[in-house]
Amino acid sequence: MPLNAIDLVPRHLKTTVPQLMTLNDITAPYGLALTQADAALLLATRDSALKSTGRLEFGSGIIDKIIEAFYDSPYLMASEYVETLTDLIDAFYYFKNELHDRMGDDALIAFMRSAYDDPCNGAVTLLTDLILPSLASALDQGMPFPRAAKYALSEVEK
Amino acid sequence: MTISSSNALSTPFDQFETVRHTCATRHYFKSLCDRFLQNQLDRIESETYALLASLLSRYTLGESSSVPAEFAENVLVSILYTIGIGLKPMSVINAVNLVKNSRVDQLFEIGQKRIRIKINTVKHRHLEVLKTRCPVNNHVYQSTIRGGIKGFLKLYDPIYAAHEIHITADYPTASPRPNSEGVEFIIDYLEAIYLENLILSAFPKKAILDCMRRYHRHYAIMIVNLLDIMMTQALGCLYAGRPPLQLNLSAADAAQLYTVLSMKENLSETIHRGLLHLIALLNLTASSLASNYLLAYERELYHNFHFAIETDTLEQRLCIDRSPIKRDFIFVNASAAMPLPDYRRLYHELISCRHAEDQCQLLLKDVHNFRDLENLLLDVPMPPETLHRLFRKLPDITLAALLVRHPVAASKYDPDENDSDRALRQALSLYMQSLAPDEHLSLHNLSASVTFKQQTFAKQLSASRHTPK
Repeated sequence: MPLNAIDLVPRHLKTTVPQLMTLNDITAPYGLALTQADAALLLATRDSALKSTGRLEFGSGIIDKIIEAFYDSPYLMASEYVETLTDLIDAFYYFKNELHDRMGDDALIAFMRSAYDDPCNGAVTLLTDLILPSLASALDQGMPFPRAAKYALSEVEK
Repeated sequence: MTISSSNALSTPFDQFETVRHTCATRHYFKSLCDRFLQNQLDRIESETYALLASLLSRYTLGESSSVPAEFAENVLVSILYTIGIGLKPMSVINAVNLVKNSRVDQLFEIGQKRIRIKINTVKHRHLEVLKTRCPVNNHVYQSTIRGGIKGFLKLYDPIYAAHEIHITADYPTASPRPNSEGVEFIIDYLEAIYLENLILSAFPKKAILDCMRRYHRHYAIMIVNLLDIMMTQALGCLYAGRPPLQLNLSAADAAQLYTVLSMKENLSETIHRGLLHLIALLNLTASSLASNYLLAYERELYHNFHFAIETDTLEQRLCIDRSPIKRDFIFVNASAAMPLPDYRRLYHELISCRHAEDQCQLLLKDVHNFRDLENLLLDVPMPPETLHRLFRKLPDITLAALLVRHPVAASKYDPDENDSDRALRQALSLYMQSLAPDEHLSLHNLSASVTFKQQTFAKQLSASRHTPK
């Protein structure tokens, strides 16, 4: 029996390519769809992000949650769909650590979606390079979440 | 593998019984599992993961699907440790059967129940340790058994970190630090301190306190084992013919002890017999836990004496009653003797001298008091060469007194130091540098013996220094 928690995670419990492909049913009306290769790329991105951030995923995962949260954004273009998703997956795990797990998955994804639309207008780099670091910094300083969120969003205007 | 066929498996299980006592608790469950077939292992792995995921989910209140891997590893170790604690009290056959027929979460619950019992044992044993606490004001000892164990009880997390203790447990016990982890470590650690307390309580309190004072003036802040000090001292007393429980040894006793012990051919046997004698004197029952604890410590006591004799440091190892060092004091009269008119006359003569030799002759001929000399050296501006010439002619005791009053090792910047003070100090410093090493040392030693008759001399001097106009 492995004494290593990462090796203990059964493969069949992880999100699979077919599971991700089923999400095409809800994203298709918005012109967004994943190919098998895209889905595999997203899963590989998830694995690599978990490894590089030193995290262990024990639940159902967040790829489907990110897709469900972002697919109806007016700024998400089909041409940038997969690229945006990989950036968001990377950023999600990175900022889970930076935020010291102070925010749950759903809360963080909801904040990312909200900021992605306004004030980022679909610019992922603005979200990952300015807003999320500002949020982490504000929470580190002891600000309550609503104030920290307001502060982080206002950074774009500055 | 058929668990029920005990005859066929008796030999490997017998071998495994010894592993049960030596194996670390966190590895015990895994070592049992290594004997299972692959399909059983798969079931155990899958259930262990399910339990881990359930605990992690509970930890994040269901709000997060991932945690830092380091934290997950720690929780996994906690699970394995908890299951190990539950399985260890059983025979290996029973443990294997239980693992085979139970789910991992059930094994975890059995371990949790046992941990709860062990936490109660810690509380009970902690009270006993507090009751038998030695009255010595040693910070590490007192803070460990008071605050340290309380800290453990407050911080211990039997679910997510059952294998951790969260405290440093700094007080070194006479027995080696327990290899166990978590609550088991604290029980073993408290057991050792309790037995040491029991042994120490057989000595008179005053004898222990006096012994510690003699051990080191800063014994309160040292990290030392009290039993080690007391037992070494008690054995020393025994061999020196002093009452062992009084723990009182003089320097002469230590010297005699050195002769007695260095003549013994078999020091190990001597220590053993001495220890048995002490056990009887301390009223410890022969087979009691306390006497067994002491006998297990015999080797360390032997090393204490063996090393001290080999390195000729027995006096340092024992707590010797040292009387204050007697020093020969040389008293220097620090009161002014010269009437003021005479002082003024001499001052004017000195400043009108054209040659250094004349100034020296005048000072040596007309000044008969240290304070007058010092005042004139400060009041009359003299070049360093003149002072050097004078110092060579002054008696050693006068120079030693000047060195005490104007230490050459003083820092370069002293806000209270005026120009004349600095000039005199620098001249003394130059003079000391010009001396041969043995002369330098002799003068330095002499200055250590100098004491002034008037304690308030320095204040009086600065208040009454008179510079003639």
